[in-house]
Amino acid sequence: MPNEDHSPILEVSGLKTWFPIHRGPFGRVKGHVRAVDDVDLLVRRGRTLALVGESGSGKTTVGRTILRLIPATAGQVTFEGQDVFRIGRGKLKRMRRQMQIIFQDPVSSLNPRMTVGDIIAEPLVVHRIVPRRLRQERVESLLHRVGLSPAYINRYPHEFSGGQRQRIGIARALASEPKFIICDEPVSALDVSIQAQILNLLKDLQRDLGLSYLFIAHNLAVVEHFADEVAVMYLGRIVERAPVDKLYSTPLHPYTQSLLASVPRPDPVNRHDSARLPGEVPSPVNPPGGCPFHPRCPLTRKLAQELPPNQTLPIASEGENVLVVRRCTEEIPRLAAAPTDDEHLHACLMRQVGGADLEREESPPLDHGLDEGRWV
Amino acid sequence: MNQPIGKIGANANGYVVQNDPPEQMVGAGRSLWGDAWRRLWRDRSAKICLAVILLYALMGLSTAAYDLLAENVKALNWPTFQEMVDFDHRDQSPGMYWSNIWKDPSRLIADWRQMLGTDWSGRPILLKTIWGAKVSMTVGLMANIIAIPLGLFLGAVAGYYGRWVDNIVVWLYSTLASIPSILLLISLKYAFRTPIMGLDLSGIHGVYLALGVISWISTCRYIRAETLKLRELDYVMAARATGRSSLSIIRCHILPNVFHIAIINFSLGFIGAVSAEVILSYLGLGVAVGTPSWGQMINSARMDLFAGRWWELTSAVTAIFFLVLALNIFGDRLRDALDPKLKNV
Repeated sequence: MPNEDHSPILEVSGLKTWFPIHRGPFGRVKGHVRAVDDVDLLVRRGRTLALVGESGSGKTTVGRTILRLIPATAGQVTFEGQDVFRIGRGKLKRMRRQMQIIFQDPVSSLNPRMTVGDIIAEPLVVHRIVPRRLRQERVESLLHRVGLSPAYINRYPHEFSGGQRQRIGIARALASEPKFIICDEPVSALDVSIQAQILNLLKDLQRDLGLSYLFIAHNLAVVEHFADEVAVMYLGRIVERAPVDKLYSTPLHPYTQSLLASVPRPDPVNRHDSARLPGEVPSPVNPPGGCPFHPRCPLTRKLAQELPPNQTLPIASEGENVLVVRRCTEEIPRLAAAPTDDEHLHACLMRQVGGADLEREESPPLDHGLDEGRWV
Repeated sequence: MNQPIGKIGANANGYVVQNDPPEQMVGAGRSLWGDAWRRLWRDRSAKICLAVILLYALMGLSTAAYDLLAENVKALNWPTFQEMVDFDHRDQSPGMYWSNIWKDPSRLIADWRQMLGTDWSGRPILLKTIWGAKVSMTVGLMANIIAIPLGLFLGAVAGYYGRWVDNIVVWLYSTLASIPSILLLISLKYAFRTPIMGLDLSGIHGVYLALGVISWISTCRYIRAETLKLRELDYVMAARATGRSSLSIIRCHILPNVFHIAIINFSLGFIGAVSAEVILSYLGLGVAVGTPSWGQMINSARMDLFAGRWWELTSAVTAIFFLVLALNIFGDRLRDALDPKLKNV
């Protein structure tokens, strides 16, 4: 049933996941890896929120922290009005029926010593969803639902291809009849042709079952036609959050702009030197002060050229001295609404001080060989 | 005309579904255990070693059965091994038997027991060696029956829970491992000389327990390391996300995936137990004096060799040699067959 109610199903506010670093002879905590640092998210019923970022930006940790697979350091996650981090064991188990996860690696996500039937039946057994005698029937219908033959029920995972295994993982996630599924890069490990099949399957399931997705990806091209909203993550923080069309048409954060500019386009005529970001992602152990993006940010470099010296600061980035805006090194930006639209949030200090902007390269629309939003 | 091999249809959602899977995918699947067994069975050296091990096990079983019958069913009138004393033929060398056969071939059958010579009381070495298999096989089996479940459980629990549970287990086995095992065995055996909580562990039972207590360490180490790896895998995460309890995850996801290590360790631990029994018996701390065992045979060789009687020692050492060799090669083949990392090598 198409769900017309798009009220929030999952709200994440101020989520922090820091991993302690133990060093020295007595294993004392010598610092933290700030994998997730102050993340706010909102997933709506029947909708897909995509979480995009480079590897190491903390997207996977966000997903696992929401499911309480990794303990959170601070923050609050509310799922259907219940505080995920503060409920007791019994309630948590009931909640886990409603929230499931699909993993990136189709090899390690299935126990090699269990049959496909046992793997898919696991949630049924744990939550006592169907009586034993109806279990096989249910597993067979789940297999059929994800496009696999029910005859595979007694086979083992190693007898399947990557795409088929991913379907088995989806069937397992569906078995407990969840409302919300975290898709942790479900197609990154698959061939492009198989990626399309899996994405179409996920989309069909969402339409038919009214599922809500938190879709974690590092590929902007995959997200563009799959998600309703996109959140871009950099170094453990959300830097921009917007409905998908707004994000792709008018990206506000310089990081998002660079990401979009680096999507390869299969166009030999319009070959362009993408505005490649200088440097690498800094270590989350010792993130830069102020805006975490400032050492690589093209916008602050550009603006600093026009500001008086008391408002700028020379910093060393990748062995060269660059001039950046002083405010970017001192103040941590918060997600704020763009002046034009309430739903479009970004975390760039320079964007807030008026119209100062980088001239955005006019780029032709991305071409992925897509036909009306379906992968072919 | 090309006939499609399998019927390709589309389900309600419009994507392709294989309604008819390929022929080989119908029915029961190939489990990893089945695969491992097939690999092992294809390996001729593994089969030979298994046969040798089974032969030793058979020797142990048949002597145990013989002892039981000889002691309890008097009507059979079988002599127990202890009663096979024959002072007329004491200290006979195998050479004597074979030269007698040369003179009178009819005695080949009648005197077959003496073909490996006799000991100081005239008991045949051949039978003594066969009887020795009983002690060795039982010790190997019992020590492992104690050690493997202990190592499996502690290793999995330590690896899965981590933190203080892990600290305690690691501390325990590091401490035990830092004591030279033979000294630990000897001290445990001495500790067992007085009954503990009503249990008399002074004899062979003490050997089982002492060996069991020290030989779980290597199993535990392997299992712990493997569990540390497994608990980060996605299927364990998925089970946790589904709401399975930790103990249930250990039972359903961890143990089946580390069990092959326990099997390999069973085979290799057997060697350690057999040789430890030999050493303990040699030192007079193993089986009771008079019980036929390879350790006792080597022990008595201290006097025998001085008098030029080499055959008792030789038989015992040869028996140990073939058992340990077979166990070693079989353990290796088992590892090759069971370890998925070596699967495609």
